[in-house]
Amino acid sequence: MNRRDYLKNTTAVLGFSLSSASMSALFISCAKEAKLDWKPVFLKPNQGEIVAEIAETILPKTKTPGAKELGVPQFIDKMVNETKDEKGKEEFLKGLEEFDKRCVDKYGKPFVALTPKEKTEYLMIHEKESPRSGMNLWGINLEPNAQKPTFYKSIKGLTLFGFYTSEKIGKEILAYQDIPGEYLPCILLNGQNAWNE
Amino acid sequence: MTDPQEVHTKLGRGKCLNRNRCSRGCPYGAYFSSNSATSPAANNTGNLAVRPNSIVKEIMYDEATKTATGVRVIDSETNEVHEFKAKIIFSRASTLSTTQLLLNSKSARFPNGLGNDSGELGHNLMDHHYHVGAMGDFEGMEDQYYQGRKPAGLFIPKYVNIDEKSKNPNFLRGFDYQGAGAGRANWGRGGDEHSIGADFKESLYKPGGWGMGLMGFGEVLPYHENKVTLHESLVDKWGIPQLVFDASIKDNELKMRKQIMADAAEMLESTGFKNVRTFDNAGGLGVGVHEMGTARMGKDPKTSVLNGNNQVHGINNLFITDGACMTSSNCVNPSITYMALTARAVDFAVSEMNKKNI
Repeated sequence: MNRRDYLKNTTAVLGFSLSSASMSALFISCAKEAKLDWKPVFLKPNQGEIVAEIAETILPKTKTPGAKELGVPQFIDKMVNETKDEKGKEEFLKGLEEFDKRCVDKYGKPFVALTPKEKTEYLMIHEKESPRSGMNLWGINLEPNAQKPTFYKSIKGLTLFGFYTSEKIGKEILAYQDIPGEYLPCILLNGQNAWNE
Repeated sequence: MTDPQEVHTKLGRGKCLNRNRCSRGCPYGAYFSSNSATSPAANNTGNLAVRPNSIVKEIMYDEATKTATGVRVIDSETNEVHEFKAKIIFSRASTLSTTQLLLNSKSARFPNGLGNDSGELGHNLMDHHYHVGAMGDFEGMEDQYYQGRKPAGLFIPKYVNIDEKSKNPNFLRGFDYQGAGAGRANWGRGGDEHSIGADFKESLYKPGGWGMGLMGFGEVLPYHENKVTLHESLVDKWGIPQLVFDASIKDNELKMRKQIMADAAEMLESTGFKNVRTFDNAGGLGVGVHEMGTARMGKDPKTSVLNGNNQVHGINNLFITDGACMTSSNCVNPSITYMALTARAVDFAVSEMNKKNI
């Protein structure tokens, strides 16, 4: 039973199983093309900019890197492109469109134009509406009828996944052991960070 | 493997280094597999020949001698058909491939598949049912941690229906638990925390609270109506008829699942776990990937395909020792049982050959 730990965290945090399909593009109303320093494979530049701002608001740069610095927006772009089927892609883009439309309705400006404080405030509204993840053990979804993740919940999951499994965080911030050797069932925590897993 | 013995190290196998990368193939051979253990051991005898790219299409039968004479093989690279003759044949193709092979080996003597006088070939398909149990959180012990990614979990052996005292009135047979041993949550918990920002990010660098899950594995009864048959017209690229599955878990399993769930929750709660959640997501037969039966052993050739020595009834030189031979499924992982049955059948076959009975 060693298959159990495979994608142990990701099924829970993503709320979807991975599959592949072709892309389909809806787009978000936008005035001018955003200038990105990276080239999205799936998203349009304006969409990529929103995704980047959401990711950076969830995991901002502190004394350790933020989501943008670690290429999390690129990761999300790629993940949506390569792991969601056509329907999933449509849903993602529709969710992104609604996310920004609601922002305009509330603040009179799109998400990327909000102040940092407003961005946090707006995301916290979505946080409070997020359903809990379905139960999960060994990467197995045990609650197939659990409420589907919302757009915000999906993008948060992808943000965490891209960030905490990045080489930088995994090797330099989290406690990294390539080959642990012995298994020690009981040790004192002693302030260390979590094991990279 | 935690404590390799000479028999292991001789094959180049070493101890587990707790990487938990077993599913990628263990370079130390600490995780048992044909690649790490049995194939090298077989190779060391000097008597092993491996013919790759070989799709066994049928087992040939000679009515005059009442023996299996060999196998007809399609070369998957050249599509050429080859025949290999043998004095004795063991089929260990895996449960359903073995049965597919027997069903596809038709002759005037065995029009419904080789060794299928009983009509049981393809029937009594079993699996284990799981994805049922409970999980919970444990408060406290926040200064405690562990080191190393131990790939194994805990195991709670079957404790119901083992004697009169433990008899459960609601279902036959029983279940065990395979536990995802206790552990601390990692960054994945952040998905459900209604929080974002700098402190949130930093907090997920630290281990989260303790939790554990108990996953039940239950026995599936051998139902005659759970079966596989050959499709009448659909064939694979080598012209071999495809298998059709007609099987499900039934009332006995569904009742057992209720008990699995309730007991798991009770154990966690009485151990002090909080927020205990139960789950029951049966899915279909096949979820357990422990397919068994379809060419079962038995004393009576009228109701079984193999005898007690894993010989096909009436064909003394043909042995089936993979999961197809199973008569019941118990509730534990079955591979080691297949290996033990194989060793036993091989020992029997050698003794029969020495006695000139085969």
